[in-house]
Amino acid sequence: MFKLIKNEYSKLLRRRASQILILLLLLAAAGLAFFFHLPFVQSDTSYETIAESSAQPEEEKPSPEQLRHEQTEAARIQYDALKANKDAGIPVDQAALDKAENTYLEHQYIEDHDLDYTLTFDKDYGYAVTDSLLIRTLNSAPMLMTLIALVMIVFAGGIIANETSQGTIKFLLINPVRRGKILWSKYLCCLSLLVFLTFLLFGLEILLLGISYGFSGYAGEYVHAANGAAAGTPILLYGFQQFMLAAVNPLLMMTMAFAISSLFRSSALSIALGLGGLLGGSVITSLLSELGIDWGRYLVFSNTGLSAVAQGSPPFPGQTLTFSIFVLAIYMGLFLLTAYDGFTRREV
Amino acid sequence: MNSNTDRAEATPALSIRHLNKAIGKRQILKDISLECRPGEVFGFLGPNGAGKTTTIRLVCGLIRADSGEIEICGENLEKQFEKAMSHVGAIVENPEHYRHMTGWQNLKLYQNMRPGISEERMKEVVHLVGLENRIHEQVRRYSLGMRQRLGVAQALLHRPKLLILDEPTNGLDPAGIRQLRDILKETAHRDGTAVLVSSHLMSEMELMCDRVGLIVNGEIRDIKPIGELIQEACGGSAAFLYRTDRAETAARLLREKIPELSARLLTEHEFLIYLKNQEKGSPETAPLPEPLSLCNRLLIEAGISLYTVSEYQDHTLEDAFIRLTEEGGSQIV
Repeated sequence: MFKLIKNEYSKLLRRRASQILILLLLLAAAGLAFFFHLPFVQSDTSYETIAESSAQPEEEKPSPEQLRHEQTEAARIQYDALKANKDAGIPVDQAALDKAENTYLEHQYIEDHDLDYTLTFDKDYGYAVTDSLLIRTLNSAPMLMTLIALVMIVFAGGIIANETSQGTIKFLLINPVRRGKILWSKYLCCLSLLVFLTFLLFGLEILLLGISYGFSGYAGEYVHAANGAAAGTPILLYGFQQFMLAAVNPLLMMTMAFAISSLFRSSALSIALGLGGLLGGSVITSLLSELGIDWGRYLVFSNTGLSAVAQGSPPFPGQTLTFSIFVLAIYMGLFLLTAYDGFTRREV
Repeated sequence: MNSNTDRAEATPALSIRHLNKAIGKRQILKDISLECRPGEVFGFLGPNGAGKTTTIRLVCGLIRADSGEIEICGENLEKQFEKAMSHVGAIVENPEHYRHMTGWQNLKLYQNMRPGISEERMKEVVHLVGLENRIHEQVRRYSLGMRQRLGVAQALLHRPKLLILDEPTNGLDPAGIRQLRDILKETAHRDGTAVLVSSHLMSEMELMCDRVGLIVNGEIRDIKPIGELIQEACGGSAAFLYRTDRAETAARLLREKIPELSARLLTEHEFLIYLKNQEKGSPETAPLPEPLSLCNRLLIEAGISLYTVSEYQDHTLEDAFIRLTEEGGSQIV
């Protein structure tokens, strides 16, 4: 089996097109890491204004402790005011109240844990509330995952179809190896390459970001408040989690492209559908969700956004993490069975 | 099935029994049975579309039979696929390789898929097919003949007990054909490999094969040592050349009226008919005046002008082949 996978790697990676695609991935990782150093990128200050408007403007360079305390106080006053209004029976926007509470809790957390304020952030601000370019870039690193997905869909969509179109499939299948094994070796080749590229690009991004903006940024924490409690996650761990969550959709779409490749033996069709699912799936989901079409929750695209589901804002009401993982597992099984059945029964 | 060679080896390298295969509504193979014995070169002869390649694809497990059994060295192909296929080396249709890789890298892939192939064996095979100088070049730069040679190298790599080559001389130059012939004969006669070669060229078969199975329209017509087959094809019947005003109509008429006759259209005004001799094995005997006069009568009654009728000498292999495989004209069925 190991040798079969090795063969698949050798066939795939000796292609000039594959080499170029992987090279482009590495370039994209580098480009992202050094993005704010690029000469044509305007030094963007919008996040600072947002950060400052939501926080107290600093006047006479107070000490970090003082600053943190002031911000906590400000947030608390705001929250208390809203809460007092509510208690007094004045109608208050619940969302605003929740946000004020969460903001207060986060500031309290930052103060309690003596965190460097400039290195913390929460997505709920819209922008990372940090002036660390490193953290801001790390937060958008999951978009590299989309690029990996593009590449992997092209690979998985072609790995069977190319053999058919070249006619080499006959010479592959006349070996003393059952067809099932050949199929799994092809899938495992794609799967392991996806995993490898994911870790490689994440690692590379971490390294390059450190070189680009200094490694001190990694001391930061992601602070997030929900359900009346704030919690912090080390920035590296948080970035890693986000990266992994972003890998779910590529995994599913790659597997889908693989299944289509096996079933229809057309690389064009499988790549088109794979990319369509990758890039257009979220559009379909949000459309169905807005129209209130409930069976939309059973679509594969509606469940690949695991981070949204985990944070309690799923596209369809009542969609739990367990449900999503269950649906995804069923889709994975379905794709792989389709691929197996199509490949082992096909007349060559 | 008659055989002259003694059956010292108990298990045939390939044994096909009552194979049927339909693709869509077309019955491609009808009850095919044959055996290939160790040490023989078995020729699989038939016109285009007769079912040669389909049979070979079945034997290689690329497609599944509707009914029937295939055994390779006593191992059932469907039930023990891996074991059975470990005895098989094959080229099916065109020799296709990974064009972006070198010949050597292609062979490496096969080395990884088949147990027990050493680097030395790979070099040996490359030398055998005469690719030594070009083996480290990308296959995209190979000519058809070179790809054919690489295909043969691939098929021989693991010293198979059954070697299957589908029209292996395609694209080979005369020297290459002779070289291939020598390789095949040597592997069969020295190593005891059973070789199954398909071809539509009888002349090629004559030089290469020990026994020939003739397949027409998905049916095995005959399995015989090549000499006997030629003898029968040429000697067993007599040919006559007719010149008439409407050759096509005439030929069709005769075919309809006399079932044991086969006819071949040559030009607008000329056609050949083949009549089976009643006395077997003596081509020199008097050529059946009775059916012949029947033919003439039929034609005249149908209002076809007969210019000349003459005996036709065509004991070449090509014609023998055409006669053997002729079934109502030259349409691919």
